[in-house]
Amino acid sequence: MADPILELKAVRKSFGKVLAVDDVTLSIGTGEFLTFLGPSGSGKTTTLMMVAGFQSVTSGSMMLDGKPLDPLPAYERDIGMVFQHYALFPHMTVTQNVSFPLEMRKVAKQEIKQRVQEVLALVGLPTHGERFPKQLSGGQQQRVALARAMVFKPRLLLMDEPLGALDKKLREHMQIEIMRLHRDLGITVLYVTHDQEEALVMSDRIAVFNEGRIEQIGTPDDLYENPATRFVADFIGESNFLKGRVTRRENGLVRIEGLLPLQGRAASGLAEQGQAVLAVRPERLHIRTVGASGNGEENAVEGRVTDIVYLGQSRKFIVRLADDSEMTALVQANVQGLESVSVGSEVGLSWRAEDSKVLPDA
Amino acid sequence: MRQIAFWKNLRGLICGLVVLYMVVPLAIILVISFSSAPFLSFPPPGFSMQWYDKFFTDPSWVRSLMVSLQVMVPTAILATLAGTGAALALTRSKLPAAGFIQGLLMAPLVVPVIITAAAVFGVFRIWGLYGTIPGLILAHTVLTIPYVLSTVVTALGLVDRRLEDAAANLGARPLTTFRRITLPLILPAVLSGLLFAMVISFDELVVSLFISTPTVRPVTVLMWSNIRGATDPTIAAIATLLFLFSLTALLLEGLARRRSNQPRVL
Amino acid sequence: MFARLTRDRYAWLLLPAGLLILVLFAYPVFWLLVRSFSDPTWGLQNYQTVLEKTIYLKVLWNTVAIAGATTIGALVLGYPMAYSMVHSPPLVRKLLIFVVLIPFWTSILVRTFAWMVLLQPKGIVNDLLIGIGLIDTPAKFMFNRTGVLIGMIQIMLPFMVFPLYSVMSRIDHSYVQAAANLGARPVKSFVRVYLPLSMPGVITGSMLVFIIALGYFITPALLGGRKDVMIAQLIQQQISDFGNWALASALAVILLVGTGLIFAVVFKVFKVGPDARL
Repeated sequence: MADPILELKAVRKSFGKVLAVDDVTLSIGTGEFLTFLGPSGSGKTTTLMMVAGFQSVTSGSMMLDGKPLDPLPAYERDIGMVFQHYALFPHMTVTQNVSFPLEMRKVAKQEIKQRVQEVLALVGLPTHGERFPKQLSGGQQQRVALARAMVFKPRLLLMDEPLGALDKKLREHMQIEIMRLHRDLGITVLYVTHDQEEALVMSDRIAVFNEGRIEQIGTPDDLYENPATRFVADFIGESNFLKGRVTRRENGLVRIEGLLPLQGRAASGLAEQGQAVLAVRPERLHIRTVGASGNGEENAVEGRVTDIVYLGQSRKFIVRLADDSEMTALVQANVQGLESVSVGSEVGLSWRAEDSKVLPDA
Repeated sequence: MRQIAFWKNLRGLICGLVVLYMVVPLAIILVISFSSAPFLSFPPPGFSMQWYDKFFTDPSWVRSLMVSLQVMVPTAILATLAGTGAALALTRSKLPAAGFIQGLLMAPLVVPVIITAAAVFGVFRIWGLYGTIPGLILAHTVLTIPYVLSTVVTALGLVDRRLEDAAANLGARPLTTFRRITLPLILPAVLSGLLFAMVISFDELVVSLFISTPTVRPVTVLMWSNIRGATDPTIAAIATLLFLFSLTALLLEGLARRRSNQPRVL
Repeated sequence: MFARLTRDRYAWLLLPAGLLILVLFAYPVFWLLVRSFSDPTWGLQNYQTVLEKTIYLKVLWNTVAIAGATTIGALVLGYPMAYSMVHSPPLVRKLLIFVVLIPFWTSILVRTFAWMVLLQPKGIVNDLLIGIGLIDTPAKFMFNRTGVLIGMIQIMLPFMVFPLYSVMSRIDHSYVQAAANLGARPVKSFVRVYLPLSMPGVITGSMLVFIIALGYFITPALLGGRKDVMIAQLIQQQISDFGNWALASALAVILLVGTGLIFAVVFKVFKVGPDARL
């Protein structure tokens, strides 16, 4: 990419014998919204802390705008940060909080006043300057934290699970707010979350963390349609997994033999031979009653319905296969022809080879 | 980063000095108490137990020790009974102005001791309690009730009322509930209060100074009289014993609290 | 309501403690207080005496000055101690807590006597200083203000450290991180963020130390000189040496009122109360 703002090369962090971050390499481009996504303990927050300067790097390098970040103490890094619980100074008003970074940079009083007013208006809190943090709601505190982090126009904005403490509706609202600000101001954002839906909604690219390593970096679409590993396929969205042994490759498709012969697209990290697992998303499955004609899709299995979950705009069918494994099919409410299918019915599931991916069996 | 290191080192230095400041005086006393020389020199020329010996054989010291013990034990018992009772009353019954009453019972802690001492002395003289063991006991009891009270009140606050309700529901009468449920649960705190009261009584000086006489006076008062003219380490030996006594009692107290998982000082 | 009370069996348990405190504490203190107005006749003459005679005024001033200096000393030493206690590994923290608690468990008499031994002209402090070469002849540490302060600061330190520790341990680490992230250098970060957040502890600790120091008797009596007499010593002297209950009771009232006023003012102004610490 042209002129990345942040570059991490082979960054490692160990606490004694525990390796928390292992060989993280990535770049963030100007104006990009990159999310670190992963479960707790996956290393995403530790990496963020290293970028912010609150943890030291064990090995590897970090560059901000082409300059090494490592030797700089936290208070010289000029990176904006929104903390998980906002960390708004309780003994200062909203205005004083937001003015703080400008005071540290010895900006003139008049200019401070103006810029603080501007940024508070930007986050939708123009009249809240004299309030104290504890007088504000969670969502308002969040916005003040944002304002404070942006007022000094940093090159990079870090956000550490900022929406975790909010309820669902508010969270969704704030997601859109943050995206709007990102778009309007063109700031570069490094966002950390464990919520995959949030990541899919907000990000330009997502780096999926697992046990200290990055399993895959890509656009939300990339990660959803072409997961590179079983972990990614499982963590993002839902997937059905079917195991098998690799038998043949042709035209980018791979054939595996397990319960049945199946075909799917090969993941780039797939070995020529050996155990593999085929992943297919529930919404790509088509159900038909046994006896109904097939639809020519390459992959087909049969099983018995054990559960039907009603979700309003769709239905989930849980189907148990001959080897006692289960598959989930997601069917839109308006699909016809399934009136006779109920719990206990024998059904057939089919999908196109193109809609499934064969991954290394981790 | 260098700035941070400077402040850290400075802080470490101050803390190191404070540690010495707190510990060294007591350590010195401990060492001198075993001195073979009849004056307060450090380091002592040799080891000897003579000053401890002197404390237990010299008649005036022995008499004062007897007084201290005769006062300490009844005080602790009285204070514990009264304090525990008051704690129960304050937490379990709907007394009007409970906060005010508790405040009043805690007052001896808040009022400067010198005032309590002068007041009690003045009144004891009128009532004929001046220079008597019962007088000392009563005065010490009043001083130690607040400690017992606050300890037991805290413990009672931690006992789930619903346990007592459950006992009642299972058929236990109030006294039984207290004996079998509440008391065992607060026992560590009660014992803790008892030990506290003992230590405070034994160490008490100011009030005792006022209401003692040359014939009836505890160890601390005799120490006070001797201290200005002290030239030999007997006082050091007594001070060490006092210190060890307090330390033991308070470690025991900590242990008792630890076993019951209740909030404690350490 | 009273009927309900008499049936409330728990309420009766209050009686022993209540009686003891009322008869043996509340009444005597009240008696003393009244005496200040009634001895030898009804009126404010005793207070007049106190406020007119310079020697008595001097004592009042000494008391406040010594208590004030003790508070400042305890703060200067206690703040870094409390800070270290919060920010140290568990083992070091336990050690520091123990070290601050030890004097707390030791009788004041013992501690003061320890200082007498240390600070005397032939004591080891002087030996040490002469040995290092800092001074040639023994310095006077006893029977003067220095000795009193050295003794009192040590005794008061726990009362400063524990409220501070209590407040500091509740300060969220992320505030300090946020300050650094926003560009504050360590000193600025401390002054603008950490110190204000630790203020409740500073106020509680200072108030506690000041109030206790005001009423202090043992340490100034043993380590102080003629110029360091505090109000407690004056009260004792007036009663034991001169039988002057009139003056002593007035002084006692002044001390009590002073103590109460400080409590009230601090409580109201700073909205901080003494913690239930023991």
